[in-house]
Amino acid sequence: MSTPLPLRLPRVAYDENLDIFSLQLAEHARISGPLLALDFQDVEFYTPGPLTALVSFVRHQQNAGRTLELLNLQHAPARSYLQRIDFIRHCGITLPENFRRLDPAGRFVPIRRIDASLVGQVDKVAGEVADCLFPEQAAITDYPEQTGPYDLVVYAATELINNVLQHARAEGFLLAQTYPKQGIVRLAIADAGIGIRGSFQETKPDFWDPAMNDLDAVRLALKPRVSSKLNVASAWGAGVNAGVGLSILKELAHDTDGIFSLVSHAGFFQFNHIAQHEYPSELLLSAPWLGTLCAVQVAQPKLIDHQRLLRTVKHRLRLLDDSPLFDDLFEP
Amino acid sequence: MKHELILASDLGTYLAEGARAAEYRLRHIEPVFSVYETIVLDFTGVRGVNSSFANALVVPLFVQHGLEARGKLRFRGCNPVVKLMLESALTLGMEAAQGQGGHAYA
Repeated sequence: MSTPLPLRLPRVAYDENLDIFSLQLAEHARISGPLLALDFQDVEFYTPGPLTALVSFVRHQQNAGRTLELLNLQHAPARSYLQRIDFIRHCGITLPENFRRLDPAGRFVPIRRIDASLVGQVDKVAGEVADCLFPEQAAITDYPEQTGPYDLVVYAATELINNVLQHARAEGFLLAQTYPKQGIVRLAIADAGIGIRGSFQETKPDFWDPAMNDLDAVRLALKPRVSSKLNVASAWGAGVNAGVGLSILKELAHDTDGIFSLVSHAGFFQFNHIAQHEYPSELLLSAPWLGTLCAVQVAQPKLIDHQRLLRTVKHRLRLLDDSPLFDDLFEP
Repeated sequence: MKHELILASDLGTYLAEGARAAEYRLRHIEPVFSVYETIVLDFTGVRGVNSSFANALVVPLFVQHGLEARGKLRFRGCNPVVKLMLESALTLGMEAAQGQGGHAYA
Protein backbone atom coordinates (compact mmCIF):
# COMPACT_ATOMS: atom_id res chain seq x y z
CA MET A 1 0.00 0.00 0.00
CA SER A 2 1.45 3.34 -1.02
CA THR A 3 1.96 6.07 1.52
CA PRO A 4 -0.64 8.82 1.19
CA LEU A 5 0.64 12.24 0.24
CA PRO A 6 0.85 14.82 2.97
CA LEU A 7 -2.32 16.81 3.48
CA ARG A 8 -1.57 20.28 2.15
CA LEU A 9 -3.46 22.49 4.55
CA PRO A 10 -5.52 25.27 2.98
CA ARG A 11 -4.28 28.84 2.86
CA VAL A 12 -7.23 30.14 4.87
CA ALA A 13 -9.66 28.42 7.21
CA TYR A 14 -12.60 30.16 8.84
CA ASP A 15 -15.37 29.06 11.14
CA GLU A 16 -17.62 29.23 8.07
CA ASN A 17 -15.82 26.30 6.43
CA LEU A 18 -15.22 24.23 9.54
CA ASP A 19 -17.19 21.38 8.01
CA ILE A 20 -14.81 21.04 5.09
CA PHE A 21 -11.74 21.59 7.23
CA SER A 22 -12.65 18.96 9.79
CA LEU A 23 -13.61 16.54 7.02
CA GLN A 24 -10.22 16.99 5.37
CA LEU A 25 -8.38 16.21 8.60
CA ALA A 26 -10.62 13.28 9.50
CA GLU A 27 -10.41 11.76 6.04
CA HIS A 28 -6.64 12.17 5.94
CA ALA A 29 -6.34 10.44 9.32
CA ARG A 30 -8.55 7.64 8.05
CA ILE A 31 -6.52 6.89 4.94
CA SER A 32 -3.09 7.40 6.45
CA GLY A 33 -1.21 4.56 8.02
CA PRO A 34 1.15 4.88 10.94
CA LEU A 35 2.69 7.95 9.33
CA LEU A 36 0.59 11.06 8.90
CA ALA A 37 1.92 14.24 7.34
CA LEU A 38 0.52 17.77 7.27
CA ASP A 39 2.02 20.41 5.00
CA PHE A 40 1.86 23.97 6.31
CA GLN A 41 3.48 25.78 3.40
CA ASP A 42 0.29 27.62 2.40
CA VAL A 43 -1.12 28.36 5.86
CA GLU A 44 -1.79 32.08 6.05
CA PHE A 45 -4.95 32.89 8.05
CA TYR A 46 -6.93 30.59 10.35
CA THR A 47 -9.58 31.57 12.85
CA PRO A 48 -9.67 30.00 16.33
CA GLY A 49 -12.16 27.30 15.26
CA PRO A 50 -9.89 25.60 12.71
CA LEU A 51 -6.79 26.29 14.81
CA THR A 52 -8.09 24.56 17.91
CA ALA A 53 -9.33 21.73 15.71
CA LEU A 54 -5.86 21.40 14.24
CA VAL A 55 -3.92 21.45 17.50
CA SER A 56 -6.33 18.97 19.06
CA PHE A 57 -5.98 16.73 16.01
CA VAL A 58 -2.17 16.88 16.11
CA ARG A 59 -2.01 16.17 19.82
CA HIS A 60 -4.41 13.28 19.56
CA GLN A 61 -2.46 11.66 16.74
CA GLN A 62 0.76 12.07 18.71
CA ASN A 63 -0.78 10.68 21.89
CA ALA A 64 -2.13 7.73 19.91
CA GLY A 65 1.40 6.84 18.91
CA ARG A 66 1.19 7.89 15.28
CA THR A 67 4.24 9.34 13.61
CA LEU A 68 3.24 12.83 12.68
CA GLU A 69 5.20 15.02 10.30
CA LEU A 70 4.46 18.73 10.29
CA LEU A 71 6.08 19.85 7.08
CA ASN A 72 7.14 23.34 6.07
CA LEU A 73 6.08 24.98 9.32
CA GLN A 74 9.07 27.22 9.05
CA HIS A 75 7.88 28.41 5.64
CA ALA A 76 4.26 28.99 6.54
CA PRO A 77 3.16 32.60 5.94
CA ALA A 78 1.50 32.45 9.36
CA ARG A 79 4.59 31.05 11.05
CA SER A 80 5.17 33.86 13.52
CA TYR A 81 1.46 34.02 14.37
CA LEU A 82 1.43 30.26 14.98
CA GLN A 83 4.40 30.74 17.26
CA ARG A 84 2.88 33.68 19.12
CA ILE A 85 -0.30 31.80 19.92
CA ASP A 86 1.80 28.80 21.05
CA PHE A 87 0.33 26.54 18.38
CA ILE A 88 3.76 25.27 17.44
CA ARG A 89 4.79 24.75 21.04
CA HIS A 90 1.66 22.69 21.76
CA CYS A 91 2.50 20.56 18.74
CA GLY A 92 5.76 19.71 20.48
CA ILE A 93 7.99 21.55 18.05
CA THR A 94 10.66 24.14 18.67
CA LEU A 95 11.34 26.73 16.02
CA PRO A 96 13.58 29.76 16.37
CA GLU A 97 11.51 32.86 17.02
CA ASN A 98 12.61 35.59 14.65
CA PHE A 99 10.50 38.23 16.33
CA ARG A 100 10.01 39.86 19.68
CA ARG A 101 7.07 38.55 21.65
CA LEU A 102 4.83 41.47 22.44
CA ASP A 103 2.22 41.45 25.14
CA PRO A 104 -0.86 39.82 23.56
CA ALA A 105 -3.17 41.80 25.84
CA GLY A 106 -6.07 43.25 23.97
CA ARG A 107 -5.61 40.95 20.99
CA PHE A 108 -5.42 37.23 21.62
CA VAL A 109 -5.05 34.60 24.26
CA PRO A 110 -2.34 32.02 23.44
CA ILE A 111 -3.70 28.51 23.11
CA ARG A 112 -4.53 27.16 26.52
CA ARG A 113 -4.52 23.44 27.27
CA ILE A 114 -7.60 22.29 29.19
CA ASP A 115 -7.21 19.22 31.37
CA ALA A 116 -8.10 17.87 34.79
CA SER A 117 -5.56 20.13 36.47
CA LEU A 118 -7.99 22.98 35.87
CA VAL A 119 -10.76 21.53 38.01
CA GLY A 120 -11.39 24.14 40.65
CA GLN A 121 -9.63 26.75 38.51
CA VAL A 122 -12.19 27.31 35.77
CA ASP A 123 -13.17 30.76 36.96
CA LYS A 124 -9.52 31.79 37.21
CA VAL A 125 -8.69 30.56 33.70
CA ALA A 126 -11.77 32.16 32.21
CA GLY A 127 -10.93 35.40 33.96
CA GLU A 128 -7.42 35.27 32.53
CA VAL A 129 -8.84 34.82 29.05
CA ALA A 130 -11.10 37.84 29.43
CA ASP A 131 -8.37 39.87 31.15
CA CYS A 132 -6.17 39.25 28.15
CA LEU A 133 -8.73 40.17 25.50
CA PHE A 134 -10.25 43.16 27.27
CA PRO A 135 -7.72 44.43 29.78
CA GLU A 136 -9.36 47.83 29.97
CA GLN A 137 -12.56 46.23 31.25
CA ALA A 138 -10.92 43.90 33.74
CA ALA A 139 -10.75 46.51 36.47
CA ILE A 140 -14.34 47.73 36.01
CA THR A 141 -16.32 45.68 38.48
CA ASP A 142 -19.21 47.92 39.48
CA TYR A 143 -20.60 48.90 36.08
CA PRO A 144 -21.61 45.78 34.16
CA GLU A 145 -23.16 47.92 31.44
CA GLN A 146 -19.61 48.86 30.46
CA THR A 147 -18.12 45.39 30.43
CA GLY A 148 -20.35 43.36 28.12
CA PRO A 149 -17.53 41.88 26.00
CA TYR A 150 -15.47 40.99 29.07
CA ASP A 151 -18.41 39.35 30.82
CA LEU A 152 -19.46 37.42 27.75
CA VAL A 153 -15.97 36.03 27.23
CA VAL A 154 -15.78 34.91 30.87
CA TYR A 155 -19.20 33.33 30.63
CA ALA A 156 -18.51 31.55 27.33
CA ALA A 157 -15.08 30.36 28.48
CA THR A 158 -16.45 28.90 31.70
CA GLU A 159 -19.22 27.04 29.90
CA LEU A 160 -16.89 25.64 27.25
CA ILE A 161 -14.13 24.68 29.68
CA ASN A 162 -16.64 23.03 32.01
CA ASN A 163 -17.96 20.98 29.10
CA VAL A 164 -14.51 19.62 28.32
CA LEU A 165 -13.74 18.85 31.95
CA GLN A 166 -17.09 17.20 32.61
CA HIS A 167 -17.65 15.29 29.41
CA ALA A 168 -14.66 14.89 27.10
CA ARG A 169 -12.43 12.40 28.92
CA ALA A 170 -9.55 14.01 27.04
CA GLU A 171 -7.53 17.19 26.98
CA GLY A 172 -8.86 20.22 25.16
CA PHE A 173 -7.43 23.39 23.68
CA LEU A 174 -8.87 26.87 23.96
CA LEU A 175 -8.07 29.89 21.81
CA ALA A 176 -9.64 33.34 21.88
CA GLN A 177 -8.97 36.44 19.84
CA THR A 178 -10.38 39.86 19.11
CA TYR A 179 -10.38 41.41 15.64
CA PRO A 180 -10.75 45.12 16.39
CA LYS A 181 -11.03 46.30 12.78
CA GLN A 182 -13.96 43.97 12.13
CA GLY A 183 -15.34 44.37 15.65
CA ILE A 184 -15.39 40.61 16.19
CA VAL A 185 -14.56 38.31 19.08
CA ARG A 186 -13.88 34.64 18.39
CA LEU A 187 -13.57 31.87 20.93
CA ALA A 188 -13.07 28.19 20.25
CA ILE A 189 -12.36 25.02 22.17
CA ALA A 190 -11.63 21.55 20.79
CA ASP A 191 -10.95 18.20 22.34
CA ALA A 192 -10.31 14.68 21.02
CA GLY A 193 -12.60 13.06 23.51
CA ILE A 194 -15.53 10.69 23.51
CA GLY A 195 -17.91 13.15 21.86
CA ILE A 196 -21.42 14.14 22.79
CA ARG A 197 -23.02 10.86 21.80
CA GLY A 198 -20.30 9.05 23.72
CA SER A 199 -21.06 11.12 26.79
CA PHE A 200 -24.75 10.25 26.52
CA GLN A 201 -23.87 6.59 26.01
CA GLU A 202 -21.68 6.62 29.08
CA THR A 203 -24.29 7.87 31.52
CA LYS A 204 -27.43 6.66 29.70
CA PRO A 205 -29.78 9.46 30.74
CA ASP A 206 -33.45 8.69 30.24
CA PHE A 207 -33.40 10.17 26.74
CA TRP A 208 -30.59 7.86 25.62
CA ASP A 209 -31.38 5.83 22.54
CA PRO A 210 -28.70 3.54 21.08
CA ALA A 211 -30.09 4.36 17.64
CA MET A 212 -29.18 8.04 17.96
CA ASN A 213 -26.38 9.16 15.67
CA ASP A 214 -23.85 11.93 16.28
CA LEU A 215 -26.03 14.59 14.68
CA ASP A 216 -28.98 13.56 16.84
CA ALA A 217 -26.70 13.90 19.85
CA VAL A 218 -25.52 17.36 18.79
CA ARG A 219 -29.10 18.53 18.29
CA LEU A 220 -30.05 17.22 21.71
CA ALA A 221 -27.09 18.89 23.36
CA LEU A 222 -28.26 22.21 21.93
CA LYS A 223 -31.63 21.92 23.60
CA PRO A 224 -31.78 23.57 27.02
CA ARG A 225 -31.67 21.32 30.06
CA VAL A 226 -30.19 18.42 28.18
CA SER A 227 -26.98 17.04 29.61
CA SER A 228 -25.47 13.62 29.99
CA LYS A 229 -24.77 14.60 33.59
CA LEU A 230 -28.24 15.98 34.40
CA ASN A 231 -29.08 13.24 36.80
CA VAL A 232 -25.66 11.98 37.65
CA ALA A 233 -24.61 12.62 41.20
CA SER A 234 -21.30 14.30 41.73
CA ALA A 235 -19.13 13.65 44.73
CA TRP A 236 -21.31 16.22 46.43
CA GLY A 237 -24.67 14.58 46.00
CA ALA A 238 -27.30 15.83 43.61
CA GLY A 239 -26.67 16.45 39.94
CA VAL A 240 -24.76 19.63 39.33
CA ASN A 241 -25.30 20.07 35.63
CA ALA A 242 -28.40 21.73 34.22
CA GLY A 243 -27.37 21.42 30.57
CA VAL A 244 -27.96 25.00 29.46
CA GLY A 245 -24.50 26.25 28.48
CA LEU A 246 -24.42 25.32 24.80
CA SER A 247 -28.00 26.38 24.17
CA ILE A 248 -27.32 29.78 25.71
CA LEU A 249 -24.14 30.26 23.67
CA LYS A 250 -26.01 29.33 20.51
CA GLU A 251 -28.67 31.92 21.21
CA LEU A 252 -26.12 34.57 22.17
CA ALA A 253 -24.44 34.08 18.79
CA HIS A 254 -27.85 34.57 17.18
CA ASP A 255 -28.57 37.79 19.06
CA THR A 256 -25.13 39.24 18.40
CA ASP A 257 -25.09 38.52 14.65
CA GLY A 258 -22.46 35.87 15.07
CA ILE A 259 -21.69 32.30 14.18
CA PHE A 260 -22.11 29.27 16.39
CA SER A 261 -20.50 25.96 15.43
CA LEU A 262 -20.60 22.61 17.16
CA VAL A 263 -18.89 19.54 15.75
CA SER A 264 -18.86 16.24 17.57
CA HIS A 265 -17.64 13.15 15.75
CA ALA A 266 -19.89 12.91 12.68
CA GLY A 267 -22.37 15.50 13.91
CA PHE A 268 -22.01 19.04 12.57
CA PHE A 269 -24.11 22.06 13.44
CA GLN A 270 -23.51 25.63 12.40
CA PHE A 271 -25.73 28.68 12.43
CA ASN A 272 -24.28 31.60 10.53
CA HIS A 273 -26.16 34.77 11.40
CA ILE A 274 -23.67 37.02 9.66
CA ALA A 275 -24.69 35.49 6.37
CA GLN A 276 -28.29 35.76 7.59
CA HIS A 277 -28.94 32.11 6.99
CA GLU A 278 -32.53 31.26 7.73
CA TYR A 279 -31.66 27.79 8.94
CA PRO A 280 -28.61 26.20 10.47
CA SER A 281 -26.39 23.76 8.62
CA GLU A 282 -26.83 20.33 10.09
CA LEU A 283 -24.71 17.57 8.64
CA LEU A 284 -23.73 14.00 9.27
CA LEU A 285 -20.09 14.06 8.22
CA SER A 286 -18.86 11.18 6.08
CA ALA A 287 -15.58 11.05 8.00
CA PRO A 288 -16.10 11.53 11.75
CA TRP A 289 -14.13 14.24 13.45
CA LEU A 290 -12.60 12.78 16.61
CA GLY A 291 -13.83 14.66 19.62
CA THR A 292 -15.84 17.84 20.01
CA LEU A 293 -15.26 21.36 18.79
CA CYS A 294 -17.26 24.42 19.71
CA ALA A 295 -16.56 27.79 18.13
CA VAL A 296 -18.37 31.05 18.80
CA GLN A 297 -18.03 34.31 16.91
CA VAL A 298 -19.84 37.43 18.06
CA ALA A 299 -19.97 41.06 17.02
CA GLN A 300 -18.36 43.10 19.77
CA PRO A 301 -20.57 46.20 19.43
CA LYS A 302 -23.60 44.01 20.18
CA LEU A 303 -22.17 42.93 23.52
CA ILE A 304 -22.58 46.21 25.32
CA ASP A 305 -25.41 45.11 27.56
CA HIS A 306 -24.55 41.56 28.53
CA GLN A 307 -27.27 41.41 31.16
CA ARG A 308 -30.01 42.39 28.73
CA LEU A 309 -28.72 39.90 26.16
CA LEU A 310 -28.68 37.06 28.65
CA ARG A 311 -32.14 37.93 29.97
CA THR A 312 -33.59 37.89 26.46
CA VAL A 313 -31.97 34.55 25.70
CA LYS A 314 -33.09 32.98 28.95
CA HIS A 315 -36.67 34.10 28.39
CA ARG A 316 -36.63 32.64 24.90
CA LEU A 317 -35.28 29.34 26.21
CA ARG A 318 -37.89 29.37 28.98
CA LEU A 319 -35.19 29.33 31.62
CA LEU A 320 -36.60 32.43 33.27
CA ASP A 321 -40.07 33.31 34.39
CA ASP A 322 -41.45 36.57 33.06
CA SER A 323 -43.12 37.70 36.23
CA PRO A 324 -41.16 39.27 39.10
CA LEU A 325 -41.66 36.15 41.20
CA PHE A 326 -38.45 36.51 43.10
CA ASP A 327 -37.98 40.23 43.62
CA ASP A 328 -38.68 39.85 47.32
CA LEU A 329 -35.74 37.49 47.69
CA PHE A 330 -33.17 40.06 46.63
CA GLU A 331 -31.79 42.64 49.03
CA PRO A 332 -29.66 45.62 47.93
CA MET B 1 -32.51 34.24 63.20
CA LYS B 2 -30.39 34.94 60.17
CA HIS B 3 -27.35 33.14 58.81
CA GLU B 4 -25.15 35.04 56.36
CA LEU B 5 -22.64 33.66 53.91
CA ILE B 6 -20.21 35.89 52.00
CA LEU B 7 -19.60 34.16 48.66
CA ALA B 8 -16.80 36.41 47.38
CA SER B 9 -14.57 35.84 50.37
CA ASP B 10 -15.38 32.13 50.49
CA LEU B 11 -15.19 31.33 46.79
CA GLY B 12 -13.92 34.23 44.73
CA THR B 13 -15.22 36.88 42.41
CA TYR B 14 -16.27 34.73 39.47
CA LEU B 15 -18.15 31.57 40.29
CA ALA B 16 -18.13 29.06 37.48
CA GLU B 17 -18.11 25.45 38.60
CA GLY B 18 -21.14 23.43 39.59
CA ALA B 19 -19.09 21.04 41.68
CA ARG B 20 -17.75 23.90 43.82
CA ALA B 21 -21.27 25.20 44.29
CA ALA B 22 -22.48 21.77 45.32
CA GLU B 23 -19.61 21.39 47.76
CA TYR B 24 -20.31 24.81 49.22
CA ARG B 25 -24.02 24.08 49.55
CA LEU B 26 -23.38 20.79 51.33
CA ARG B 27 -20.73 22.21 53.63
CA HIS B 28 -22.24 25.58 54.50
CA ILE B 29 -25.96 25.67 53.71
CA GLU B 30 -27.47 22.24 54.18
CA PRO B 31 -26.13 21.70 57.71
CA VAL B 32 -27.78 24.93 58.93
CA PHE B 33 -30.84 24.97 56.73
CA SER B 34 -33.21 23.81 59.44
CA VAL B 35 -31.57 25.90 62.15
CA TYR B 36 -32.09 29.42 60.80
CA GLU B 37 -35.21 31.28 59.65
CA THR B 38 -33.33 33.08 56.93
CA ILE B 39 -30.20 32.20 55.03
CA VAL B 40 -28.61 35.16 53.28
CA LEU B 41 -26.23 34.52 50.41
CA ASP B 42 -24.22 37.69 49.98
CA PHE B 43 -22.84 38.13 46.48
CA THR B 44 -21.24 41.51 47.12
CA GLY B 45 -18.00 41.59 45.16
CA VAL B 46 -18.97 38.67 42.93
CA ARG B 47 -18.56 39.88 39.40
CA GLY B 48 -20.22 36.97 37.64
CA VAL B 49 -21.80 33.59 38.04
CA ASN B 50 -22.50 31.04 35.37
CA SER B 51 -25.42 28.67 34.98
CA SER B 52 -23.56 25.69 36.37
CA PHE B 53 -22.75 27.40 39.62
CA ALA B 54 -26.09 29.12 40.18
CA ASN B 55 -28.09 26.01 39.41
CA ALA B 56 -25.96 23.70 41.54
CA LEU B 57 -26.12 26.13 44.45
CA VAL B 58 -29.85 26.75 44.42
CA VAL B 59 -31.82 24.03 42.69
CA PRO B 60 -30.95 21.12 45.00
CA LEU B 61 -32.15 23.18 47.96
CA PHE B 62 -35.60 23.19 46.39
CA VAL B 63 -35.33 19.51 45.56
CA GLN B 64 -34.41 18.74 49.14
CA HIS B 65 -36.63 21.20 51.01
CA GLY B 66 -39.38 22.10 48.59
CA LEU B 67 -40.98 25.53 48.80
CA GLU B 68 -39.46 26.05 52.22
CA ALA B 69 -36.30 26.99 50.32
CA ARG B 70 -38.09 29.93 48.78
CA GLY B 71 -39.17 31.08 52.21
CA LYS B 72 -35.68 30.95 53.70
CA LEU B 73 -33.29 32.07 50.99
CA ARG B 74 -32.29 35.68 50.50
CA PHE B 75 -29.70 37.10 48.14
CA ARG B 76 -27.76 40.27 48.76
CA GLY B 77 -25.39 42.47 46.78
CA CYS B 78 -26.14 40.92 43.39
CA ASN B 79 -25.19 42.83 40.27
CA PRO B 80 -27.68 42.54 37.39
CA VAL B 81 -25.94 39.56 35.75
CA VAL B 82 -25.61 37.62 39.00
CA LYS B 83 -29.25 38.38 39.78
CA LEU B 84 -30.28 37.08 36.38
CA MET B 85 -28.42 33.80 36.84
CA LEU B 86 -29.91 33.33 40.29
CA GLU B 87 -33.41 34.10 39.00
CA SER B 88 -32.97 31.35 36.39
CA ALA B 89 -31.82 28.98 39.09
CA LEU B 90 -34.80 29.92 41.25
CA THR B 91 -37.11 29.30 38.29
CA LEU B 92 -35.67 25.81 37.90
CA GLY B 93 -35.82 25.30 41.64
CA MET B 94 -39.50 26.23 41.83
CA GLU B 95 -40.26 23.87 38.98
CA ALA B 96 -38.44 21.10 40.78
CA ALA B 97 -40.25 21.81 44.02
CA GLN B 98 -43.61 21.84 42.28
CA GLY B 99 -42.82 18.65 40.42
CA GLN B 100 -42.65 20.36 37.05
CA GLY B 101 -38.96 19.88 36.50
CA GLY B 102 -37.93 17.67 33.64
CA HIS B 103 -36.32 17.63 30.27
CA ALA B 104 -37.40 20.31 27.90
CA TYR B 105 -36.67 18.34 24.75
CA ALA B 106 -39.34 16.55 22.76
